[in-house]
This record gives sequence, structure tokens and C-alpha cells, in this order.
Amino acid sequence: MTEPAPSRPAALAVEDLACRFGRVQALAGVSLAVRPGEVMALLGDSGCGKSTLLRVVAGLEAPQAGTVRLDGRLVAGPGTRVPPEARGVGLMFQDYALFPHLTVRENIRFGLKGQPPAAREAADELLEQVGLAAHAGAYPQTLSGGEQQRVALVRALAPGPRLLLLDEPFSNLDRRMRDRVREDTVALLRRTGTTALMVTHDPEEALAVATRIALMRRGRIVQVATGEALYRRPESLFAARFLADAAEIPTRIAGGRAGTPLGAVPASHLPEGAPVRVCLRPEALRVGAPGDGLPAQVLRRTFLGAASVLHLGLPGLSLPLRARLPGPGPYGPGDAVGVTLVPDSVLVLPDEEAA
Amino acid sequence: MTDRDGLIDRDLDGAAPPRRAAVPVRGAPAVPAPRTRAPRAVTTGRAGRPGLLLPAWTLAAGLTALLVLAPVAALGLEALQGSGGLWPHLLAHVLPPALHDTALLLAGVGIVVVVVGTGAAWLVAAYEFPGRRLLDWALLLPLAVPTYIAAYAYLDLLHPVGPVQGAIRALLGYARPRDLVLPDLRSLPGCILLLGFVLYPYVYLPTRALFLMQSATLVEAGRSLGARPAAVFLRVALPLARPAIALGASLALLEALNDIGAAEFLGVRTLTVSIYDTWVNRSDLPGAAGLALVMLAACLGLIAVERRARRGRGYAGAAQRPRRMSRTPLSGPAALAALALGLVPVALGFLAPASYLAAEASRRLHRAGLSGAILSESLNTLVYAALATVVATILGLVVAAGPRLLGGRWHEALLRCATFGYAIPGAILAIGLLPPLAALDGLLDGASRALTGAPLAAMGLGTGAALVYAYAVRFLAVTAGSSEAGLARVPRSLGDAARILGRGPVGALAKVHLPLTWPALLGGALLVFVDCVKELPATLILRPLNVETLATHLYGEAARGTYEDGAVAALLIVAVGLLPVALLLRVSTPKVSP
Repeated sequence: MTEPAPSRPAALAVEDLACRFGRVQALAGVSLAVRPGEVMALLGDSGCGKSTLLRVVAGLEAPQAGTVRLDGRLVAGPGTRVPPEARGVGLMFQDYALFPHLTVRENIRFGLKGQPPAAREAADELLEQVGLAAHAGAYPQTLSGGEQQRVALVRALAPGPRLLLLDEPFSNLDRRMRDRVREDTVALLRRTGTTALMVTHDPEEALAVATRIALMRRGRIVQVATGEALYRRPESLFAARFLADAAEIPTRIAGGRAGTPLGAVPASHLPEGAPVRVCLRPEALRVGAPGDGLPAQVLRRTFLGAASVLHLGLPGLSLPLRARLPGPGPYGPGDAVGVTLVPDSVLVLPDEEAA
Repeated sequence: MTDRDGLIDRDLDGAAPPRRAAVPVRGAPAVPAPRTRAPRAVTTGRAGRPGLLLPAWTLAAGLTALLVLAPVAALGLEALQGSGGLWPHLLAHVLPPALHDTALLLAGVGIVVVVVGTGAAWLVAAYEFPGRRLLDWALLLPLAVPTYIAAYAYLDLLHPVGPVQGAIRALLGYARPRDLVLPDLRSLPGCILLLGFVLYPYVYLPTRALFLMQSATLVEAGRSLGARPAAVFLRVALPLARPAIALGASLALLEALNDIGAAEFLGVRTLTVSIYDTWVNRSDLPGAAGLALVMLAACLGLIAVERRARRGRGYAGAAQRPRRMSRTPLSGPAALAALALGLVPVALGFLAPASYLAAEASRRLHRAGLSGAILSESLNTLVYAALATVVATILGLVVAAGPRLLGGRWHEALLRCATFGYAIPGAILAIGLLPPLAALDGLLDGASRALTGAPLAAMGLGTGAALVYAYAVRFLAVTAGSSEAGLARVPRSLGDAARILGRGPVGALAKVHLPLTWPALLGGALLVFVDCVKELPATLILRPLNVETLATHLYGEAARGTYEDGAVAALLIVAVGLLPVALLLRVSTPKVSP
């Protein structure tokens, strides 16, 4: 984990957080720092503790151990418990939690109690920016899902939180709408300079939105990195699998290399004899004419529109490999092809299960 | 998951810092300058306003629970003092027959309410026939008739020289009453039938709702497995409806135990009547307290049996809104028979007594006009019921919101204690309240004499405060229950959102929970108001001297055997009692897709 610049405290700094509900250890020693102005994604399966972490930061749950600091100020820790309303964070709920008895405008002004009138004008302006000014007098349940999402976002942003927490903010939208709303949301976050921590289970969403991604598993942070670094240089098999499907070839390190039927892959960072898995994502294979690389046979072709995926059988490999080609591609089932590895895209990772 | 709430909201020391709007003021470019975040100091010193409100809330909830439990504790203390030489007498001559009659009464009433209530519920849930919609709500009407009013009406209706027996004799050609002696209503079987046909809606209401909620697929599965409709009822629908039947029957039996008027008018010496008699006629408060403890044990036993009957089984069916069971259409004689069958309980439980009362009341009004006494009694009834409703609603909200606002097992326990009152019959509650209130009065009076030399007019017992107290304790379960149900329907994220947006727990309650739950609160308040108007035993014991309510007036006339303004008073009570029937019907009809 990279530390923020010492001159400016992290917008959010969490240390050794532990949280337990009955027998479930939701958080088991989580440490994390979010830099000012960044959008961080908390990525993980359901039940990995990411939503709990969000609720602890918001003040809706109390941790059993560890500390939470916002801009350097201790808000949760031994003997300290700042209630949610005094933390100055915003939270956008997965179900939006719009107050059904209040209009859109009243919802948005709910958090502005005790603020100068300029704040109300600013909130109205925000509503205008997201194209909902015409709906200000409507009740939330009369709006579409996408409109409700925007109201929830504006409501969370209106009081000017130092940190915005988003709990699966796009999961209630259908796929077509999700991409656009996602872009609009990111644009608004950037425009308002808001630091954000977003919970998601969708790696694609995390990659699209976040400056950095914190990958969680079983109440712990597994890896924190930029999206590209996490995708291209996952530190564990779990991280590699979470970001993308891959064919895995179990083997051992010999002479600083991991041997596979497709050739040996350099892996000097791993100890001699260590069990590893060589992960071949579709982009790690280049498919060419027969004779160009190892001989292979096309078993099946799945056409996805913009691309197609070839399932390839190779001598010496029990499971098929997958390769991605743009468009429909020139090959069909039964065709003989040649396959070569793209060394940069091959991942060699310690085999946690074999150990 | 529930006590996760308990982890939050404890420490409220941090004062809410001012927030800044996130967007530029009008006219500024869309991209704002980087915001300056005001540094906010952690205040861990003096607690702010919410910091004081929350302990106050806990205190209020605790006091409410204490108010409910005080009469029970007092009963125990009173009974321990012994009743001189009278307790052996009570044990030998009063308790055994009272227990015997009460047991028989409960068994009989239980059978009648279960058979009539379940049968009626199945009739309107499973069959379609002309008049079914009418029957749907008409079957609830007996709820408007308190047991003592039904007894009052039927005593006159079925009197040997009354209209019914007269008509039968005329039909059969007998001239004098003694030529044809019909079974007397004033007997245990008479009391059982009467209570049964007035109290069956307690079973009908939840059972009907459960039949309507039952997924069509369960019944269809039964049919497809070869069971005939009658077998489906017995083997699928009835076992599935068991918790609703158990709940309804236990409520009906608690009402039967609570009844004092009907049993006394019909000459059945139940425990309640014995308690009242022991206190009023023998002036034996410890003895009455001892009997009351026995009766309280019976009530708790009933509730335990009901809990047991519901335990551990799955009844709810699928989580999604189920498809409603389609009703079997009936036509011709079958439809007519169904309608006639369904009308029997309505006629016996409501139409007959209500129309008798209407006729008697109008005759009385024609002859003597509206007496001043009735007006002042109506006012008394209204004032006490309204005061008690306000108190019960506020206290109910306080105890029901405790677990939500503050969380934790502690508040959950307080809520359970505070809603214990529904299990305490009015007579027991009143007897239990007498000693502490008398002690309090004595204390205040003594203090007044010591300080000013002047005696103090009675405080608790003399002013009707005791009556309001008893009503509130007895019906707190209704308001707390409806508050709890209403609050539970507000998604947790809404409360969380209010907190995140800067409101404290009490602010969230006021701005989010209350606006979303007020229909449930009003519904609960209406039920309590009507229950207070109908309440008889506690009113009889605790009303201030020379104060009459509609219910006590009716009791007095019936006890004396006079029938002056009684019918008018009874009709007024029944009219008020009709108010919540519509509400109950709406609330208990599950929303399922057609």
C-alpha cells in the first residue's frame, strides 16, 4: 500500500479495523488509506466485509478494534465514537433510501439544516446539473430508477461531505443504463472534487470508475493498486481470478522458470521448486495460421459481437485454452491453428491451494 | 442481526460541524474551485442536546415498563399479607367453583370461537357467492358489541315474557310462559354461546387474513395430489392456519376472562366475578389479590399455550407476493346456503342485539328524550378514553421506538415488559392498582397535612387519574404494537440516511420515521380509544366516586334489573365500537396480486 504524501493527511485512514457480528468476523484487521480527491473502489464478493467497512467509516457500525480517521481527525477508536451525523461524510445507499414522504427538493435539502441559504441554491444548481430540475417537486417513487439514482447522489453531495461513500451505487440499474449513469457519476465526483469510496462486486465497474482499487477477501484487504496494476500484476491467484477468467496450468518453478506445454515462462521472483499456476487469460495467446507457433485445434467458437472467443485444444493440455479475436475471426470449429504466448500478459502466481 | 443496532448511536459527544455546499454559487463555472474543508475538532467533552435526550428516552421507557409491572408486584405483596381468616374460606368455597366454571367457560368459548371463526373465514376465503363481499366485513361487526352489552340485550330479548319466547309460544299456540319452558340463557351453556358468538371475530380476522395470504399453489398442489376440497381444507389450509387460529383463540379467551358483565348478568361465577365480589361485597382486598394472582396465572398459561402452538413451524410460504387462492364459485341453492350460513353469526353476534338496542333506545328517546345523565356520562367516557388514548399512544411510541433509536437487548426487554398489560384483565389490574395508589394518596395527604396542616383531596383514586393509568397500562400493548409494526416497515436505510445527512437519532425519528408511520399510530390510537369506551371491569373499580361512564351506567341498570337509559348507553358504545371495524378489515386484507 502506498502512503499518501506526508504533508496532507489521508482523507480517510483506517487502521487494523476489526468488526464481528456474533460468529461472523466481518472485518479482520483492515488498514486502508484514501487520498484526498481520489475515487477508491472497494472490490470484493458479497459477504467479504466491504459494506461493513463502509458502514463503520460512516459511523453506522462500531468497530471492536482499530481506528478510523477522517482528514487526520479520529472519529472511531478506543474511547472515541463520533456519531454518523457529526462525521461530515456522505453515503449513497444501494437502495438509494430516498425519503418517500418528501419531494425531490426536500430530499436534497434534508442534509442542509443549519446551513446558509446559499447552500440551498447550490443544491438546486446541483439538481439542475444532473437534469432533474423539472422533477424537483415530484416524489421520488414516481421517478425512474436512473433518476432516483441521481437524486440520491445529489442528496449525498449537497451538504458538501469531505468523503462520499457509495454502496453498490449502480447495482439497481439495468445494464444499458448503467454505463451512462456511471460516467455521469464519475464526472460529477470529479467536478465537485469529491473524495469517494465506492463498494462494488463488479470488477469492470471498479476498473471504470476508480483511481485505485482495494480488493477485499474475508474481511481483509488483499491488494490495493490502480486498476491497471491490479489487472496486469495481481499479487495473488485470488486477485487474478477476481479480475478476469483465465485458464490455469499448475506447475513448479524450475531454474527460475515455470514450464508449460506452451513453453517455459520466466518467473525469477518466485523460489525454486515452488508450486505455481500459470494463468493464461484470452489476451495472453496469439492465434495465427498453422505452423506459426504451437499446433492447436479450434474446438468451439463463441461469437460475442465485437469479438469472438476461440476454445483451443492443445496436445498435452487436458483443459481447453481460450483466445480472443476481434470480430468473428477467420477460424471455425475443427480448424487447425498455431498458438504463441504473449509473455507480458502471462501471469505466474504462487499456488495457494497446493501449498 | 438485530443487535447490530445496539452497537451504534451510543456516543453522541461529537457536535455536528457545519457543512459546506458542494457546488459553486450561481453563475460560477461548472467546475468549482477546490473546496476548503473546515477542520473539525473532536469534541469529547460536554454532551449536546441529543446527548441528554437519549438517556431521557431510556428513562421514559423504563418508567413506562415500571408503571405496567407495578400493579402486578402490588398484587403479589397484597396477597402475601393474607386476608385474616378469610383465605381458607376463599380456598375452600370460592376458588374451586370459580376455577371449575371458568375452565368450563373457557373450554366452551374456545370451541365455539374456533369453529365459528375458522368456518366463517374459510367460507369467505374459499367460495364466491352473491353477498360474499358483504359477509366479508359483516362478520366483523360483533367486535363492536362488548360482551356485557350482548348479555344485557339478550337477557331482555330472551326473557320468558320477551319478544322471542313470546313469538315462539304464539307460533306453537301456548298462552302462558309456564306452559312452555325454554332453556334459560342464564346458565353456563348460555354464557358460552353468547360469548362465543360475540368473540369469534378474534379468530375470524387473523384466520381470514392467513387464508387469503396462503399461496394458491399450496392448495392447488393439494388438489393435484388428489385431495377433494374438503380434504384440502382439513389437511392443508387448516394446519397452515393454525398459528392464526391459536392467536385469535387466545385473544378471544383473554377477552372472556376479562369479561365481568356478561358472566355476572348470566349468573356464572367466574374468577373475574369472584374477584370483584370478594373485593366489593366482602371488602377483602388481600383475598381478591390472591384470586387475581390465580387468574393472572391462567392468562399467562393461555399465552404460553398459544406461543407453543405457533412454535417452530413454517407457515408463511414463499417470500414473493403469492397468487391469491381463487375462490370456488357457488350457484343456486349452494350459494344461498353459504350466504345463510355466513349470516348466522352476524345475526346472533350483531344484528339481533344491535337492532334490539336501537329499537329500545328509540322508544326511550321518544318517551323521555335524551336525559342529562346520558350526556354527562358520554362526556365522562369521552374524556377518560381520550386522555388514556393520548397517554397510551405517547408511551407506546416511546417504548416501541427504544429498540430502533437506541438499540440493544435492554430496550427490547423494556418493550416486552411494557406490553405485558394486555395479558392482565381489567379487574386484576384495578385491584393491583388500589394499594399503591392508596399508599401514594396517603403519603401525599400526610405530606400536605405536615406542611400546610390541611388535608389533601385524594389524588390518584379520586381524580380519575387511576382510571387513565389503568386504561393506558391495559392497552399499551395495542399502541406499542402498532408503533412497532409501523416502525418496522420503515427500511433501515432510511433511518441511516437521516443520520448521515446530519440528524441525530431523535431528529431521524421525528423527520423520517414518524411521518412514515403516523397511519399505523392513528390506527392503534383508534383501537385503544374504542377499547377504553368499552372497558367495564377496571372502570367499575377505579372510577372516581359518583362518576358514571356509559359502561358503568349500563352495568348499574342491568345489575338493578332496570332498563331506563341503558339501551341508549349501550347503543352509543356499539356505535363507537363500529369505528375500528372498517379499519381492521382494511389492515387485515393482505395485498396480493389478483
